[in-house]
Amino acid sequence: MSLLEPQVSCHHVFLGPIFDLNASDEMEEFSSLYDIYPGMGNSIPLTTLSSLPHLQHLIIRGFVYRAFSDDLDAYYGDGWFVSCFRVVADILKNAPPLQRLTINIDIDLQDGQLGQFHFPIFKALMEYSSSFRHIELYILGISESDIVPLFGEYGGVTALIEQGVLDIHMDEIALGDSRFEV
Amino acid sequence: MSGLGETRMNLPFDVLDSIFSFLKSHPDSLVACSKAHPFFSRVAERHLYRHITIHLGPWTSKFGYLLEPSELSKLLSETPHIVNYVRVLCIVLVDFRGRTYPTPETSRDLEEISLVLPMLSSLECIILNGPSHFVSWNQLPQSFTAAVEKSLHLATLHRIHVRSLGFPLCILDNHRNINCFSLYGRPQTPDCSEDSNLQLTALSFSVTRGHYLTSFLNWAKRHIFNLQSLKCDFYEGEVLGLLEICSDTLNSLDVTLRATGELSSCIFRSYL
Repeated sequence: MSLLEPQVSCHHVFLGPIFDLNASDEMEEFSSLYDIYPGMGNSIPLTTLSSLPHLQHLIIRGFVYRAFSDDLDAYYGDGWFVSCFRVVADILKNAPPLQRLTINIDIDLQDGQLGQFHFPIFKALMEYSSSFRHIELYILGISESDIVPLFGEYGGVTALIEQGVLDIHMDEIALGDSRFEV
Repeated sequence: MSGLGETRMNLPFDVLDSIFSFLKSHPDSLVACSKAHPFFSRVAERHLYRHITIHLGPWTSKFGYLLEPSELSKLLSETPHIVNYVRVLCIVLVDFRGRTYPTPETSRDLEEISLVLPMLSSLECIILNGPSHFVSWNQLPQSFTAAVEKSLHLATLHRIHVRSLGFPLCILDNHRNINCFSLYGRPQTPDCSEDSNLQLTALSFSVTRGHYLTSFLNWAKRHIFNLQSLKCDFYEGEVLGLLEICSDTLNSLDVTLRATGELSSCIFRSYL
């Protein structure tokens, strides 16, 4: 299979949102350490968020998981992941100013190791944090001891926490509108 | 009466009520409190029975006071005043007692629930936790579905949540009292009226893509009114129509990013 024909027979594993990889140089920066599969995206509907003038609280629920596909294994070798990191970063870039931003990331590394990742959400949070009065980051599937060393890599994270802008919750699921919690 | 007992009894009702409100997720503790003193009992009951979960078979839940249909019937016959305390009713329709659904035991239990439902006149929220997307509303005993549909008329009822059940959305038509609806599963949309008074200000859904999602979104667009809160799976493009309609009122948006199969923007390899 051609590397530029990812849509063939691999549909079930692709994360769907939402942007044209080639349209954003900044996004390449977030992902430069990853071998991003050539994107086939063609629209950026999440920019619609900027047209929600009364939006106060945005909750984004995403994931990172080990995926399996013979076709993609043939290209990548054995070991690749589906991740929402880039999409979340893109949402933050396009989001309007908010009172409250909540990000819930569910990570299932299986036999992978966190050391193989960077955590580009931190970089995006630092870059766009001025748009959000308060940020809550919920991370499931990895431990605090896994995540704390990354603070050194993204130095501004500690400052955001100390300023009371960012709260990080490990192994907790973010709650949303209480009317939906049943 | 001991001095300690009198001290407790002299606590203002509101203070004790506020303290017990923190125990709403701990029904065993509320039961223990209610046994400690008659005054405690009156306060604790309000929280113990606020959220009742009726289950047909083995079930665990962190929400609500768990009761089987026969237990609820017995409770209401012995202490009828607690009907005033029940605000949230969750009916778990899951039943492992047979290979088919509903089993005769299921039907018997649901008919028992249908006798109890009309007594609960202060309900604010009904939760239907179905056994499967493939079980439709019409497969349930008619007495049960009629009782639920009658409860939808309660002026106090504002929230409906449906999980894993083929639920006909037209049942909600013309219930202006309902402003919050969530659906996880497969909706049934035939024969839904174009002219409905249902006006949702809070909507949550996770609906199978394709025909089900399309028909649900078409229904939802007709029934949202000053939507303030939206929770949904975010597939590119498909919920944008909703966002456009409620752009002037939406203040809370809760999106779950899902794999769609059309884009490959987020695949990376980790170790090669």
